[in-house]
Amino acid sequence: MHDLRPGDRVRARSPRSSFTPVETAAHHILVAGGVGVTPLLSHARWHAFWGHSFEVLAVGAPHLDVLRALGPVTVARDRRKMADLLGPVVGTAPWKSHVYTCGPPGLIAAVAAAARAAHWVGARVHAEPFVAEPAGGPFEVVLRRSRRRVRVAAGETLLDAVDRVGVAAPRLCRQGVCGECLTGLVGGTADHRDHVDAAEEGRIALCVSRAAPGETLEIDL
Amino acid sequence: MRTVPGVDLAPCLELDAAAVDPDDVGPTLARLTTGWRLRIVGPEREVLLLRAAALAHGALDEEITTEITTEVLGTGVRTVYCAACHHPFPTTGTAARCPGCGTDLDVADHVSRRHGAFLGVPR
Repeated sequence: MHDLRPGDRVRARSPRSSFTPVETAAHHILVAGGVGVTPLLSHARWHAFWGHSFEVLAVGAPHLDVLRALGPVTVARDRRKMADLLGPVVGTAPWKSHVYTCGPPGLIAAVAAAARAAHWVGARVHAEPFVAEPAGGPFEVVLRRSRRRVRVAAGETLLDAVDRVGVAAPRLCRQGVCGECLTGLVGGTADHRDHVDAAEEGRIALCVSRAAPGETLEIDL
Repeated sequence: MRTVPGVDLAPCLELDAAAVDPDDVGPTLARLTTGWRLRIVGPEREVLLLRAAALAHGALDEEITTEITTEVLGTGVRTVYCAACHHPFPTTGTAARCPGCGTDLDVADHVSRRHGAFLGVPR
């Protein structure tokens, strides 16, 4: 991306997202913590455009004036006040509601706890953390089809390590969201960090996932 | 409503599949709040159709439990979904002629949650 110049031709595809509004929802509750408001601004604009029922709960979030012009916004002064707000909101939400949280892990956990206390099922609770997951330690990976053994350094992704030795691997988002880089996991136990349930298919997301501590992975590459 | 001492159970709406019209389930569900569960009880065919209607009105699999009161599963009246013309119709047994298009169908074991019906495969 950084090597591109004005006028360069690029191949583009339509965007993908793991944090989209659920089309069948009767009501959307958007919970924004700090700059976590970013994707929820798009949600709010979308709901306002289509006339969907929605409300925003915000704590420490910027762009409140933009949100207020789109629909109802309730602002909590701090995290504890937010916890007090959440209970009544999810407890009285109409049938077919969904809640979407973007913010630090603590806020996401607080929303999940409030939803659980109101007997919501997990499929109605959505979140996008904006804190990067901590990097893991070094490990080794065996590329079965290429007959290579590659050492992945701490702070290096599996995908970067595969690139470094010149083995071609698919990729797109580099955030464990799009599923493009999913590769068969043949051996070893992985520390799965993707958002597309690669583990359920016996695969691994090269861009974000690593080996579990002390494990060596074998992948179908 | 069922209670279990010491357990905070989700509120649950019990629906008698033989008595509730699937077309009426939308307004019924709209009166609930999120967090409610549905428990659908009755004969196999009516339970499947009511369950399909609840799903169409936004209920999730995780929110629905069912209890079939038919004595032997698969022996009563089943809704068959014709693979040729997509016409759903009630029948018994494992073979039927579709009243929509006249195709002779074998009734497969495959049941659709969305249609609440068994697949009718042209012979």
